[in-house]
Amino acid sequence: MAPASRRSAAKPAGPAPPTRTLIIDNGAYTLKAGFSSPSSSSSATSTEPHSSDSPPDVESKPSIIPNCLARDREKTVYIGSQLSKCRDFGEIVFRRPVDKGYLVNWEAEKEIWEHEFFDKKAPLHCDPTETGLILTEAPNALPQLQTNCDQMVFEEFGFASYYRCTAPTLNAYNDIQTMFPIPIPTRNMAKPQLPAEILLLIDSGYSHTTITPLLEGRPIQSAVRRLDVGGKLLTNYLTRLLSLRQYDMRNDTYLVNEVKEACCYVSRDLKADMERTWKGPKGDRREIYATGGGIAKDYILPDYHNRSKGYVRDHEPAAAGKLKNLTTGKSAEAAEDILTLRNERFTVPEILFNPTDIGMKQSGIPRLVMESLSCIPFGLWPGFLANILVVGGNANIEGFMFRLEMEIRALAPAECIVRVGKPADPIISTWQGGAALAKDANALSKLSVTKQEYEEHGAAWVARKFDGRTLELPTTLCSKYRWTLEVLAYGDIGAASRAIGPGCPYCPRLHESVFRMINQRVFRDYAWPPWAVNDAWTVGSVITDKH
Amino acid sequence: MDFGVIEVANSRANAAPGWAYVPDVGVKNSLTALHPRKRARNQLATLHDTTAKQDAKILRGLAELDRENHKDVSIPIPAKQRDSGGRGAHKSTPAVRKIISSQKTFANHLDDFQVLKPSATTTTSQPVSAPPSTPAAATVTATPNSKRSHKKKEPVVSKSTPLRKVSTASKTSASTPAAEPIKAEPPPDVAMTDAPPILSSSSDSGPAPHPGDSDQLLVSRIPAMPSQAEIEQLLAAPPLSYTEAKGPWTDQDKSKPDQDILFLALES
Repeated sequence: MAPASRRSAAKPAGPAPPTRTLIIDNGAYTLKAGFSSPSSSSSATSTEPHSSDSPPDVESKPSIIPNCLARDREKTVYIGSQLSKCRDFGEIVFRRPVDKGYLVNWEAEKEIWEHEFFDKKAPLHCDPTETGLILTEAPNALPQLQTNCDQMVFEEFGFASYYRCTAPTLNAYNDIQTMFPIPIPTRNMAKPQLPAEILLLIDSGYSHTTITPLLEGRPIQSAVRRLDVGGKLLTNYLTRLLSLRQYDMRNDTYLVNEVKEACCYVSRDLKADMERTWKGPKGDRREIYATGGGIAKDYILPDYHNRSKGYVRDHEPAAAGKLKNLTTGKSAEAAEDILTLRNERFTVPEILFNPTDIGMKQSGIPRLVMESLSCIPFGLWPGFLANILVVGGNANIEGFMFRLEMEIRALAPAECIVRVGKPADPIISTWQGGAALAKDANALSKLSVTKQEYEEHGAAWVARKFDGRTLELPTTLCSKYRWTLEVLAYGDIGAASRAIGPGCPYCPRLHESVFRMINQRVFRDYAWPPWAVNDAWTVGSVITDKH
Repeated sequence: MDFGVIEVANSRANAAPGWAYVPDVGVKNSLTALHPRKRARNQLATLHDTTAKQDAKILRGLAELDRENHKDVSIPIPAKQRDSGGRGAHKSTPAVRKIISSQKTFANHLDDFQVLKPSATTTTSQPVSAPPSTPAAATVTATPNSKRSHKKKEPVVSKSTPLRKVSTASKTSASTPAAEPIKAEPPPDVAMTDAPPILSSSSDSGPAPHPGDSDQLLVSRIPAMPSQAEIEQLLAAPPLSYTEAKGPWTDQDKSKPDQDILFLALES
C-alpha cells in the first residue's frame, strides 16, 4: 500500500514508529484494552492483570473495563473500572458512550479513556504521542461518527499512529483453526500471524449481532448483515418477564443481567422445554411444573448487606419465600429473596433465533447467515460454512453453539460441511486478534495512519484509507509522482496541482497503466465536481506529457 | 432446501392436555368496538398480518426493550479535580470541542445521514463535493433552499441532470462540514496484474492421491471457485449503510405459523 511504503522510505526524517500499540476493542458494554508490541512474545508472563504495583501484563489478556459512567443510589458516580469498587448495585443507572454499537458520545468516552489511559494514575497509563492505536468499531458505521472518531484520536489525544477497523476483521488474525470442536493446530509461533483465509464471523454483542464474511482478513462488505438483537435486549426482555411475573426488576437491570448470565440457556428442543415448564390449567396443575424437569432454578438475590452477589441453585418447591419465612418467625437475615426461573431461562435467548417472538420483523441468526451467503458466489460457500466463528458475550450462553450449528446445518446445502467454533474466551477474541496484528509491525504500519499523514492529507484521506479501498501504486514510481497520484486519488486537488512540478522522470514504461488507473479509480469511482475534474484532467495530461 | 413442505396454521384451539400454540386471530372485539371508525385499518388481510394498532404496540414494546435505563437519567461528567498530569492545560481544537459538546444520539446521526446521504460524495477541508457519478440513478438531494417552510428534512427527488445541483450540494456540505455521506457505487475495480492472488496461495499440494479418486461413485463435486476478478470485485464493494445492513425478514420466516406465539402468549 502506497502511503506506508512512502513513510518507511522517509523514515529518517519522520518520527520512528511507536514501539507500543494500544488496542482498544471499544464495546458498548465493556471496552477491552491492553498493549502489544512486536518484541514481546505471546508466552510472556502470567501475572494478574490487576496487580497494583507492576504495570499490568496485558500481552495475552486485555483489561476488561466497563465502558460506562454509573451512578448508584447514593449518587456516587463511577467511571469505567471504578465500577469494581461499587458494593451496592441496587438501582444503579448507566450512561454509555456507545449507542447501538457505535461510539456516539465522545464527552463520556473521553472521560473514560482519560481515566483508564491518560491520567497519571490511570491503570493502563500511556503517552499517546509515543503509542500506536488500534481501535475497533461496529460494521456499517456512519461516516460522520467515523470522522469524529478520527478527529478525536489525532487532534485531542494525539496518538502517533492509528488503525481503525471493524471489530470482526481483527478476529481473522487469531489462529482460528484451533477454535473449532476438533482443533487443528496450525500456528507457527515464530512466524507472524497471517489473517485467516476464509472466515464467517458472527459477533453477538451487547448492542446487536453482526455476520461478516472475511477473505484474507478483509470483509466482504456487501454481505455484512446485522440482527438488532444483543445482550441488552435480552436483559431487558428478561426484566420485562420478571417484572410481570415476580418482582419489579425494572430499576435493577444490572442485577437482571447477572441473572441472565447465570441462568439462561438456549433450548435444544423448544417445544419439549415449553411442555416441561407448563403450569397446566387451574385445578389441574401439572406434576412436572414444580421442578420443570430440572429446568426450574432459584436465583437468590443479593441483599447488599450479607450477600453482595446473587447465586443460582436448583429450585426447591418446599423452600418458602422471604415473606413466609418472616411470618413464621425466621430472622430477616436468614430469609432470602428468591426469583424462580422456569421458561424465562430459555425463551429469552430464543430471541436470537426467533426475533419474531417479540414481534421483531427480522430473521434469526441462522437464516441471516444464509442470507449473507446468498450475496457471495456459490463457490465460496463451502469455505465459509466450514469456518464459522462466534465471538461476543452471547456466545457464552449455554447451548448457543449447539443450536446454531444445528440450525445452520439444516439450512445449508447437504454437501457442505458446517463447522461452528468459538474461541476460548469469545469476549476478548477480537482484542487478541488486534494484539496478534500489532506484533507484526510491518503489516500494522501498512494499515495504519500516522499523525503526520493525517495532518498532511486530512480527514477524508484517512477515512478513505480505512475504507480499505486505497489506490495501489506500482512501487517503482518516484515519491513525488506517487504522492501526486495519491493526492489525486484522495481528494486534495489544490495540493495536487501545486505539487505537480516536473512530474516523474522515471518509468516511461508505467505511465500507461498508471494513467489508466487514475482514469478508472479517480474519475469513475469518485465523483468530482466539474471544476475539480478539469483540474485533474490537467494534472493527468501533465503527467502523460512528461512521459 | 425446505422440500416444499409448508406448515399450515390451524385456527382450531386444541383442548389437548399440555400447552398449545393458539393462533392470534386479530384484534380483540372490545378494542375495535371502541373505535368503530378505524375499522378499516384494523381489518386483517391474512392471519399473519398485524393491524396498525398492533404494529404500534409492538414497536413501542421494542423501543422499550432497547432502553439503557428504565427511567430517563442524565449522568453528568463529574467535575474533575485536575491532577497536574498536564492534560488539564491541553487546548482542544474547535472541531474537537464541537464533537465533545455534541449531545446527539445515534438516532440523530442516523437521521442526518439519511437526509444528506446522496447529496455529495466526498468531504474534505475544502468543500469538494458532487452528486453521484452515475446519472442513471435518480439523485435525491437535500435542498435547504426549497420547501423549507414545510418539511425541513424531506429529501427532494430531482430528476434533473446532476450538474445543475452541484452548487446546492456544495452548500449543504459546507454548512455542515462534518456530514460525510456515502460514496457512489463504484465500477468494479480492475484486478491489478501485480496484486497477489487471493485464496490460491496455499503452499501444500493437498492430500496424496487415492486409487478411488477417479471412481465415478466416489467423486465429490464442489462448485468452482470464483475467478480472481470476481473476488476482487467482492472485496472492493463499499460498505453498506446502517439501514442496508439490517438483516431482512425472510419469506420462510414470514410463513412460519408459530412465529409470534410466544410473544402473544406472554403479552396477554
